[in-house]
Amino acid sequence: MKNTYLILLLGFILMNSGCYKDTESETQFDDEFFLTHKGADLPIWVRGNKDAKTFILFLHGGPFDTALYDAVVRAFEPLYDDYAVVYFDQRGGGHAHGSSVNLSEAQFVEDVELVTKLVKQQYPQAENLFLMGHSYGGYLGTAVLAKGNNQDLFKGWISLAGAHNYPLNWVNSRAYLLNITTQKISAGEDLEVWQERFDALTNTPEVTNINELRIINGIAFQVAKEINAGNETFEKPPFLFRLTAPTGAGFSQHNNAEMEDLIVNGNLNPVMSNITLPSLLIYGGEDPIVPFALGNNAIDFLGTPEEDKFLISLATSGHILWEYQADIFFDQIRTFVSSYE
Amino acid sequence: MKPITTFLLLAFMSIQAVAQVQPSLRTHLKGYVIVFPGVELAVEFPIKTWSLSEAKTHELIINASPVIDFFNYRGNYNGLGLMAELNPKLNLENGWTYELFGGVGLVNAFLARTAYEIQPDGTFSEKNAKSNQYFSWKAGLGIGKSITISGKNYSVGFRIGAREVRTPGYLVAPEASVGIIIPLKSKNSAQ
Repeated sequence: MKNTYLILLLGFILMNSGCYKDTESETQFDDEFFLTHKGADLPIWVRGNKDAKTFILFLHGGPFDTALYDAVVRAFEPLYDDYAVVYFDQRGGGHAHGSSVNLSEAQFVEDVELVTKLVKQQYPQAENLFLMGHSYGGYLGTAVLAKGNNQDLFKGWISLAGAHNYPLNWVNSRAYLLNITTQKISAGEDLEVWQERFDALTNTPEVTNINELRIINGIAFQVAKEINAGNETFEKPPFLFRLTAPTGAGFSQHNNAEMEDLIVNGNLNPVMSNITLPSLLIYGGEDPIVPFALGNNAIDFLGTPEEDKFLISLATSGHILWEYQADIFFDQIRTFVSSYE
Repeated sequence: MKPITTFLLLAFMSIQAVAQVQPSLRTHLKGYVIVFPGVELAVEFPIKTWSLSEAKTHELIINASPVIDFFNYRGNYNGLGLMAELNPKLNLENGWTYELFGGVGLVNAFLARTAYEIQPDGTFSEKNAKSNQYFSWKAGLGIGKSITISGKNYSVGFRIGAREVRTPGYLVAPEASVGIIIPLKSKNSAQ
């Protein structure tokens, strides 16, 4: 039994000696809890300044990716001094639990509504809530704000490479990719690879189903990896940390017809005039996945008064905007939030 | 997820001291290795051993064991698993062991943090001991070497393999494990 106690003690020590420690302190949040709703348990992480009255609720992309990676690598740490940042994983993906049921746009919207209410209940000091969505999270956030009086819950909307109009996005993405492949072929660079991409793009003139989407989106990710290489300004954690950090799933995992239809055909342009909230839209100039051109569309369709909506292009940024030109990125967010909190 | 990441997330390693053909308790450091190291405590009960080949120089056996394990993923869930494991082993005269292992089972995942549920009045109430059940599997291979400590025979080994717990995101946690297995009975048994 002596050995057994030794082993149990060893286990306890190991369990509590993790290399990962967040910023829990007298001044910084390190809160974790779940929202249980309609068959799903959604993990929520709150980081940032405990004295903040401004909370930023972050919607990850995907669909079915995870926000936990962003939380553990402290992607939005530059905001932690002034604000609290709320991360959560959406149902069906990431580190959410429960069953993969109710995977629909309406349910995703309802989940965000409840997470918002829960945050307000748990943090009465959160006087100013901002909604911030990345990529698919930009679609979801737009859908949330366009519904009923939801925008009254927030002081502002921050769309990061937001994909609020998927059909247009695939047109833009394909055009971006055709342009760059043509340039590369003309320059004689790695001809076999770029010609193969060019042929795939020309053989896929439009995205009408998930298979065509995968072709365009797959090439976009390949090209992004190449053209964005070396441009990151975000100091990533050590290799082993990233290698073993939680990652998200992907929309392919679920083969959910409703969600596949959403990312092929989902277009929120018809309801965007309902949104009159101050809005900051940031897109990357070197993002073939959700190219900058979609930002122009958002500016055109948002109902927000001209003086309260802002479209920013980060010229050398890729899709994960905060990993490139970070100083400008966070300055833009701080300026926007401080103007409307 | 990148294929290499997927593979490495699937991979887990263990250093273990194995008590053969008798119940044993093992501890493992596991989870998101560096980010969220957790702990596994497992009790395995070998119920059947088949000897496929036996000679002076080697022995080829298969162990069948139900395994009860408890593991912790920091901040996310605590799993209580029941696995059925098969463990073919080639034991050599010089004390080296080569093995395959595989198992399937169920995991009851208890949420590791407070869960809140909306009530009809629009407020949220705490929901305690919330859990979900998932299918789980693991498989891999290993190499080990017999050692003797205080008169007892153990096997120190290295394992690499995969374990998946089918949460909605089908996330596979890497399980880098540093562990010890000790016999729960006093019986000594050689490899």
